[in-house]
Amino acid sequence: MVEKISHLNEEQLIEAVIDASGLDTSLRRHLFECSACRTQKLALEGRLARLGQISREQSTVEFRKPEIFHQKPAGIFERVLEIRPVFRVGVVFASILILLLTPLTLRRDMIYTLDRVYQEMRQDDEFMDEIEKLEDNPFPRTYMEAAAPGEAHRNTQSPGALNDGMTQDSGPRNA
Amino acid sequence: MLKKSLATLAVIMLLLLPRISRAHEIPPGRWWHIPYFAEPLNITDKQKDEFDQLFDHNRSRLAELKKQVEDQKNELLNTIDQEHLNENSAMTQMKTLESTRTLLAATHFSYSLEVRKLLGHERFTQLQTLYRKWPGLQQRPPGNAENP
Repeated sequence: MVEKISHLNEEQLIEAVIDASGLDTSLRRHLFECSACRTQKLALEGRLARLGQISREQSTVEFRKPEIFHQKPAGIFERVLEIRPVFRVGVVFASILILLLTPLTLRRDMIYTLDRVYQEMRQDDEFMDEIEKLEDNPFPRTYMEAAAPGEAHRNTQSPGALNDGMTQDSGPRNA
Repeated sequence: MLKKSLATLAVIMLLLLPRISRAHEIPPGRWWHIPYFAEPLNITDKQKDEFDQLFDHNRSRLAELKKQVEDQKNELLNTIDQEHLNENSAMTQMKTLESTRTLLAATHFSYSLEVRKLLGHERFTQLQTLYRKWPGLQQRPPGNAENP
């Protein structure tokens, strides 16, 4: 059985404007479905709004509600700075310290200590020796020796020499 | 007879060449950070930075080329070690190896040239003199035994 609900009376309309959650569920459903009641509710809201506007315009400055400017809440960092100004000095000091310790500002003689330079020199000397050997002759030794007339004779006489050469040349390949 | 003598001389020269050329070279590593070299040559901080950049760039390029030469040499060895020799492939690989070797030598040489440019003729000659008199890596020059 469907319950027949009549339109909202003035009291119920006022309650709907102030706080609709106070209304009975069936009345709220009726207000949602009934265009006549919704129109009445909107008209009441409009009248109240106009009334508020008129009262604000006609009241003197002293009796007006003071306006509070809401500032954007400050972040934790700003709040800490406000509470502890010493912290500000600390931040500046730490920034300078970080800047001083960066590689850009590290002293050259601190990076390149003599021990380090000498160690690198030894490594570089060995590296350049290898480079020079490759510059002199990068080709497989056995075949280059075989190409030389004097060496060819020696290799013909002692085939073992060829094998020795092969072993030497194939060293890096097996490395 | 003459041919044989000349060939022997050429072989001796070839064997000695790396040692001879090495005697005229500049010191290895970052010598500009060693007071023995830096002080008499008046190497400025800016020049030290330039030498550092040059050294880093050159050595990394040399390392790349060294690896290429070694790889190409191994490839050539593999080719000529095959039972059925592919002569064309071997010759192509030999030419590739030779061009990489030339590039390696040129990169090495360009480092010396850049150092020569940065120092100028007088200081470059002075560097070579200092290097010849240098006790070497095993013996540190007097006064440089401790870290700065």
